[in-house]
Amino acid sequence: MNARVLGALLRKDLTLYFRNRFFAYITIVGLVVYVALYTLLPSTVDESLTLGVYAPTLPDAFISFLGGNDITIAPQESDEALQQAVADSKYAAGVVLTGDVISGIMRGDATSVTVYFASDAPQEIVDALRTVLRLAFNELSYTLGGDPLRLEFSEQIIGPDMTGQQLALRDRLLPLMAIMVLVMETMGLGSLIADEVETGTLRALLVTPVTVPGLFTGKAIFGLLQAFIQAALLLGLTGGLATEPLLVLITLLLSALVVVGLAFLIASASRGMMGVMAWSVLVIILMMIPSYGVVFPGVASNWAQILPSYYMLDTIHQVVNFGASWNAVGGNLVILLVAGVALMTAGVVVMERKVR
Amino acid sequence: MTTHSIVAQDLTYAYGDNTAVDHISFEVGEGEIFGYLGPNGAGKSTTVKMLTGQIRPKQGKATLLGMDIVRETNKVQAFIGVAFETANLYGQMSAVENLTLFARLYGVKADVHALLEKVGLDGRAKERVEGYSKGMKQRLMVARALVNHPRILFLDEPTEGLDPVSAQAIRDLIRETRAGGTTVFLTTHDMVEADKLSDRVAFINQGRIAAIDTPHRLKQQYGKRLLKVEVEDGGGRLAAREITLDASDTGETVKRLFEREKVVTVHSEEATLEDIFIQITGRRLAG
Repeated sequence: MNARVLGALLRKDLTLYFRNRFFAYITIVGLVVYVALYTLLPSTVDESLTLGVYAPTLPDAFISFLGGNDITIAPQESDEALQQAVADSKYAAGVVLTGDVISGIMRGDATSVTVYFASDAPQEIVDALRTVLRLAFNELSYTLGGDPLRLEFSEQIIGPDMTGQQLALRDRLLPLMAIMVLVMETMGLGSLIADEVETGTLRALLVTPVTVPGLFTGKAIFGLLQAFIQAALLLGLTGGLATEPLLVLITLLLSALVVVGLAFLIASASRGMMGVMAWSVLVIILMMIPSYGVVFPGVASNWAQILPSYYMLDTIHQVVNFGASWNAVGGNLVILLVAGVALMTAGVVVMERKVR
Repeated sequence: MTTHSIVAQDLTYAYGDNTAVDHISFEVGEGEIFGYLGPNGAGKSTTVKMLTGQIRPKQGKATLLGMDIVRETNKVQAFIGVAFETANLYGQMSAVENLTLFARLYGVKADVHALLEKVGLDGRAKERVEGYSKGMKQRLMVARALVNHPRILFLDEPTEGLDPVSAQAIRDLIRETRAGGTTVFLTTHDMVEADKLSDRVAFINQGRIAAIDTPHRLKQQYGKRLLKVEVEDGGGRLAAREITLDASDTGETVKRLFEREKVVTVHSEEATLEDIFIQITGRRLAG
């Protein structure tokens, strides 16, 4: 197949795609809404922290030091009440400061302090509190006993460990939006292919010099570009390409390959638009599952890693939000490439059987 | 020596255990309109699918313009035009866009406006095809099949369900196309249309060719020519009489009738292709 035929097929698909009002609207409106949503969501994180404390007598030095570090103290009536409050995520952490602990510090003895951390407390908050608490006890130790601190923290995580990352909600949502834009293409391209089969236009094309492989190449390139450009635009407009742009773009391209393969499979399994819709919704829901793990750390189980979207999302999340390097996400890219090629091959084989 | 545009040899195709086309052979000459007649399910569409490279024959071979359709599918497809029975146009595109797309796929520069004028669609050339009537879509299908100036034109039931004006426009276009040297392979179960248009016809029944010849010779060979006479008896009542024209004593019979009875009307009647098809296959063409 030559470039002229390929060009004609791509032009035709582009015309048909954007003359379908549903897909034209969803493409443009989707992109605008995602960008607007990202812009409207808070770009900063509330840094003020409240620390739950159970202490029959609270030393002034401890209170003033924490206050000076923008940490509010919430006194609790008992150890149990403190544990419950932390478990309910009212506070990211809680400290038990009994009379024995105070006495130990005053004597300069080796003393153990119990600290509770909420299981869903973001990692950076845990790290920050840990540091501040150590400094606060240091201050207390010098004030009360004048000796260097001989303190041991006994840390307990309350609830399942869902330690996440301290990110603004919009940054947390950005990879999810990118994946959403990509997987929506399963519906767009799937419909385009299924519609050609249903209306018989595919037959009309196949009695011209257009070959089946040529036809599929045209569809695949169209789907690949359509998904890739939309997702790249979204990340470009939201600053997602600021870090390692090439790495992000390659991730999007490989992700688009996975999506195009899925679209071919959906089109071959469907009869008409309703079939495409039904299959696409199922696939989109499945593909979005790993996203919840980013927005709500710990929610998605390990089994989500069998889904290729996990690797799309994890790579974009790691690179865009944490500046991960090629080495760090190289494994993900390989998995995406393998999944993309496998799905694409399966999709084309099944579709070819259907067409012939 | 006659040049053959299409040569089918022993063509066979089966869907599972069901043999749709069963060892058929025929030739179609260059510039000929060849009517391929048979009832629904007789194997007409399967034959066309094999000849146009949509499916591969299970047995036998077909050459179009001297090229093997299986080995040189794309080469052959550059020289053929196909108008399907069911409208398979891009409804969300205009007639101009539909024709331009196919011209690009064939790599030809086509005057799409002239083509649309030919099929009477020039006034609505830029409207989306989804708003066209059935007749308009069918005319556009024929125009699309002509966009690459094909040397062989395949038409599948081109006038099926059309109003008389649209049907006549398509028949005129077929004749005009043939006049330009294009071979026309006309698939239909409309015997009147086949009779009007075809130089030769083939009857296909249950996957096999039952007869193949010019409509005239088939009528001569299988049909009965009749003289239908209406006579009036003494009481003013009308009665019908039939005289076979090809009998040895036809002249004498006609003479006797005129001498003895009061003849009111006289009509000659030829056998139709449908009569002949029924005579040969025992089946009707329609349905």
